[in-house]
Amino acid sequence: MDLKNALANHKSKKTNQKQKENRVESVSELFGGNDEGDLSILLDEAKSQGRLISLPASKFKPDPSQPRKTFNADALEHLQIEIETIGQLQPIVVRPVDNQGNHMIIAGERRWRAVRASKKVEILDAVIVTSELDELLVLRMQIQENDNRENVNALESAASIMRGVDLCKEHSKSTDDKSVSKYLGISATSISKSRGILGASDVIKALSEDNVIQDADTLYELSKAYKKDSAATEAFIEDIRSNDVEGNVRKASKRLDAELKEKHHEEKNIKNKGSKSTSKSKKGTKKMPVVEDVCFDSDGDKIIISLSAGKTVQDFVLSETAIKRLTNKYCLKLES
Amino acid sequence: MGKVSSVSIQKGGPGKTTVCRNLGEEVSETGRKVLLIDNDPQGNLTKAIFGDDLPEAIMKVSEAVTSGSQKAVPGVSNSYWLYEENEMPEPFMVTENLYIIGATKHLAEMGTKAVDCVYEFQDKIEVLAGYFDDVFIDCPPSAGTLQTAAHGASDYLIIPTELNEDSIDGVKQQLDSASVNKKRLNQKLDILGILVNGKDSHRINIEEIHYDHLKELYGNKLFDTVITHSVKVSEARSFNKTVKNHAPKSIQAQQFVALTEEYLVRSEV
Repeated sequence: MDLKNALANHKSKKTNQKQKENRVESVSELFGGNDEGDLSILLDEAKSQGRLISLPASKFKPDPSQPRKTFNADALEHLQIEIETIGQLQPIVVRPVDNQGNHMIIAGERRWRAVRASKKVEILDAVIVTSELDELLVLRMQIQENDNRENVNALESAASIMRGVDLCKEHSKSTDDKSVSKYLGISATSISKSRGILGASDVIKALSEDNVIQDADTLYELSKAYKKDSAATEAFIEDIRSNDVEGNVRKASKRLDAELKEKHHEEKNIKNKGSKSTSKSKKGTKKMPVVEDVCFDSDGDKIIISLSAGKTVQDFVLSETAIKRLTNKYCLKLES
Repeated sequence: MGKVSSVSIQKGGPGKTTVCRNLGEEVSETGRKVLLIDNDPQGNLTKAIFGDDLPEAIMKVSEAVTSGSQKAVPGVSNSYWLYEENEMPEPFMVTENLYIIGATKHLAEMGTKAVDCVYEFQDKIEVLAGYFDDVFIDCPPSAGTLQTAAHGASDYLIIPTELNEDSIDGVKQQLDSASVNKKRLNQKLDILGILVNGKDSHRINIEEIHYDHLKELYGNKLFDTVITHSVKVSEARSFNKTVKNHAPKSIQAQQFVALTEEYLVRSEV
């Protein structure tokens, strides 16, 4: 028995297995193929196959389903100057539309717009991709780039993430968010957040479209809150738009969602209790005290309300909120 | 792959070593290749086979030149090496089909080592199980690193118990630690059976009550075989023999044969 060797073999087998389970890094692993997916390899391959082209800007058309829809004019001008002075650093990514040399832009619409606006540069470098796998590679690059940038339109970014997820799921055997998120280089939570934002009500999406909020977390919290109580959330969104929300909007949104959740619970409890108390009152065991007289009194700047029911009289101090509620909702005029 | 069973209970005295020794040798006599592992620093199982004169493969004794005193270190067949990284003990042949990896006091050191040694033990038992049909691990009477390691490397637990309050309590504690170890360390761990050992051959009321209680609690997890108390068992131990070799006609010898049959049936499933 060569036990020492047997042990060494056994151990190496074990550690290899464990590592394999934990890693999903390349496209090939995700799709079970053999080719290594890497952008630089993609470019090299494109070059060797004559898929790296240079054409006038007029030969390219933006993709209507492209996630990015709004473009900042200042940034575009900046990019235009950059391309005019140092040239186009990265080729845009396109796919052929017809035989006349027209192409649809998959990635690089900003660069295309910059060149189109420029009078000095007319030619754009582009890579023609041949399959959805290539598109997925590019999408992954975009998502990771967006992750590092500020002020990316939250809706567009969510849309591109979900497009990436769909492509991944279409082609891969593993269809859970976790392995997809590993491949796209983002967290599984940001996938579910993106899903939430895209599925949110138009009122919430409009916040991103109108460039009021571009924070994915805030939009996600709002979409959750909206599901619980649409009216309250709409009122809150009005407040955001009119700048009436104090402090951090993300925190406030989170608070709103938590409050609505609590309210929901309370209502449930009250319902349960209510049904119990009615069953009790049927048996005639519990009776609500009847208030026979109400009187308001003031003590300095506090307003005191005293309720008399039968022989008992109870005093309460009114809070500011309670006073507001009474004056606004029940049209009482209270003066201390 | 051979089946690995730990004979294990935190309580001392219900007969872990006796069961390991007699069941192990009996199974080996059916033609199966058996490895006994002494996983208790007291080394009772090792002594039950070799007596006080341990072979050098288990413990090497050397005269230290300077002090003139003796120095003992673990030999190549010592279970100490099951816990050490990059080491592998050689099973020591007792009979044609029976091998042992013995224990000495050196094993006690492992109780203080880092958790890593538990995984070392697991890896090594997995390799050894490839060379044997049945592996029996004799555990120490405490729930520490050594017992945890044994649970982590076993397919089955055999839990011996006597019919008294404390032992039955011990069974419960053992099942608790086993379920923790199963959850965290080794999902394949299963209870092969609970064995009543040392029951009086006469009916004693309190023992009958305890037995009924066990039956009620654990049902068919209880081995049908019961080993009754006899001086023959302790005599056999004193002569470093199995009960069958010492007193072939005794009831206890027959009981161990019955236990062996039951073991083979239960572990084949």
